[in-house]
Amino acid sequence: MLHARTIKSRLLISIVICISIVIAQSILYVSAAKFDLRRLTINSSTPSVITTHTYDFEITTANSIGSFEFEYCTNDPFPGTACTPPAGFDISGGNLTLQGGETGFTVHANTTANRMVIGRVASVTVPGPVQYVFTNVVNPSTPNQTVYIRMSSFSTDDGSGARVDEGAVAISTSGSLGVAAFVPPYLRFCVGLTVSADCNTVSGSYITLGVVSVNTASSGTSQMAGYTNDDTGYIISTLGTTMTSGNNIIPALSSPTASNPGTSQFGINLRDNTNPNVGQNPTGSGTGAPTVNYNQVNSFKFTSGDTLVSSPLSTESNIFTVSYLVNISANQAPGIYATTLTYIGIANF
Amino acid sequence: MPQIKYQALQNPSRTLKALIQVAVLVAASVVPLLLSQNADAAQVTLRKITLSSSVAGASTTHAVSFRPAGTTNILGIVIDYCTSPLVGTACTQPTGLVTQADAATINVTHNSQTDVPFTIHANSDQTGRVIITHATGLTSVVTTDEVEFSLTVTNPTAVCGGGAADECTFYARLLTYDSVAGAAAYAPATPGTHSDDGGVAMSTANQLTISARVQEVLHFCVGTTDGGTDCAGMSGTSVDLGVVDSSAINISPVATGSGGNNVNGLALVRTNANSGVTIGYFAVQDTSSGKLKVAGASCSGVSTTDQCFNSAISGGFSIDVVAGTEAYGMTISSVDTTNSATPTANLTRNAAYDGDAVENAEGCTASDAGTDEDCWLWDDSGSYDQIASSSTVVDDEMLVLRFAATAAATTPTGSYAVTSTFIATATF
Repeated sequence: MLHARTIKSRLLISIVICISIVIAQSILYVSAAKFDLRRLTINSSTPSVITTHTYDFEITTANSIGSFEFEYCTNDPFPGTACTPPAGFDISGGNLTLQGGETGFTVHANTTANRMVIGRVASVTVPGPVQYVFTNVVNPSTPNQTVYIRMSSFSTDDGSGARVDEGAVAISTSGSLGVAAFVPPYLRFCVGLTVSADCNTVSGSYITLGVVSVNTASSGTSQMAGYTNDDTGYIISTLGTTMTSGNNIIPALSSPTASNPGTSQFGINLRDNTNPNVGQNPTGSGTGAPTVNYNQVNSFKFTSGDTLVSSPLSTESNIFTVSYLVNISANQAPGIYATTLTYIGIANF
Repeated sequence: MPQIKYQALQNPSRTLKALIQVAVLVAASVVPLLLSQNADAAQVTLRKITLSSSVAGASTTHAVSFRPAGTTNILGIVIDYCTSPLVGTACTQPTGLVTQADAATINVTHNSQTDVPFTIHANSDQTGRVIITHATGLTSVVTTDEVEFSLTVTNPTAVCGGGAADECTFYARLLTYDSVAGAAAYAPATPGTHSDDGGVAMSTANQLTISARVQEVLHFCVGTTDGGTDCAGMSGTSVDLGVVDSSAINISPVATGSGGNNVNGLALVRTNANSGVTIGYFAVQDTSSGKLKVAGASCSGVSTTDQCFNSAISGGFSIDVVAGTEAYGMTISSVDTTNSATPTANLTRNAAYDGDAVENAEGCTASDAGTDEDCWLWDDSGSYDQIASSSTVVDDEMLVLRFAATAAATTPTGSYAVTSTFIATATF
């Protein structure tokens, strides 16, 4: 006894205790295998619309599978825990329109508004990609909301019992983005000695015909361009007087008339003439065209207020070259003859 | 001398008694001496057994370490696993504990001798009694020498908790011998003459598992004004391109002086999807068209006289937009990464939407081959068109969506609009 107590009194105990700490991430209550490369593609993220949900994922284990479950929740993606269904969401009327990989599934009666169950006679899965497409799915009604979908497989055919494999995905209902613009009614019209088709370049406003001879016609040109988005088109008219010097005038041609040197004449047209050699035909892709009285080669006319150009519908730009003709008779009174013409473009909106 | 002999013989009982008494005295003195040898064995100091695992039933390594109480030769070491540490008492071996087979080599080291190959003696058992011996062993081991060796042991199967408090605690009795025979003769209750001894306590323990769940994350939002942070700060639903005519290209943000609202479109995403995220859009259809158009108007091909802007697209590829040539398109001029304190830069614009939104006559390389050019695209078909993607996680990266429109000379007057829905799809 003494010896035992002595031994005991001398005994030193060293205690070695080890605690193993395992830190794990994403460990679920049930240690089922994970579906890999999983995603849910939705055809629309607009709240409350009826759309299509397409599941793509990979099965990583070979197990007897009779059903899949897709449960929509707003609180978290963890299968087997309490689920808060998204407001307004309804997949109960969903149609399984396409299945790939593991097939033979149909929508099971255990499907609810936020839980889709598809079932079949259980069979062993082959690891690999699978796809399931559901149409007629009503999106959640809350915009800009993240929704989690818990995905599980079961050996039963009705989504009951222990989960075999599982995983989760997340989607987001986003607001739409609108873009707006306003196209005003416009008529673009310009006049000058030369103009560009878009009227960004206009030059000159004074035409000099030089010294008019009895024997030779005098001529000159100016240009004008126009386009409009008025679907009834536009017209160009002119206002002004004939060539005048004090009380003396050079008579304007009241109807399309050929040039006749030795006869006092003033007229215009919008054509490429040979007698005299003056002018250009209209250019451009627009539908504007000279009116008949001003559209005859070598025939000239001027009547204030006449319509020179007309387009019956909206039109791209045209450039019109106005050819001016002046002839005088032998007894035309001398002087500086001039006129100021105003061209007017008009569109009816 | 006969009398003397007779006298000696006449007192045989006295002699015998004396002899007997002597024998008794000898025996009495011997036994205590035998007992006092166990009691007098010194204790090894600084003794410990370090377990590589405390998991019950696990195959593990027990690293034994001790210092002798005095200078000694060690030719035998006994490690006897019992449920009590008392040397010289009966030993109940811990349930489930397994030790190495006979003849296994155990390398023992002390300061001046390295890896002396002791072997497990045949008198060991494999249920906790380990006797290792070596013909010449460790010589002149002094008190400052650390004697070390390791055993492969299967821990006992008892665990703490749920039962008696001592279920998980077990002990090792450690004895050193200066002879092989001495060690070989070890028995728990009769350890025999040995140099030093001592006890070590050990315990199996439950494992402690700490778990955390990181859930899948996808935050995605679209708007026109961000708060500089995450989706919580996103607002706005419309980009106004203002008054559009054929003389110029209106590119967002269009100033309020030009009838616009001075904003771009923005699409912000955050996800921890390891396989990344894709972002795309589709144009909401109006009268079967997703063009920038007057509501309710019918669109006719590439007409410039219908109330529909022709979309900027050619053969499925982006194109340049020219003032006066009716067109409407979109591009992503940049990916903003300033919304996050720990920004990532993993979002990539699709080739068809990687223009710079600056019309500076550099043109647009065919087939989306260029980057940051005068390229625009709008898919009005109503089908999903991807505009950006990542192959890994994204932390609050934001696409800056730019829109451009120019009218033709004949584009009818009216208020034009188009709505697009953006979708983010994450692959976890």
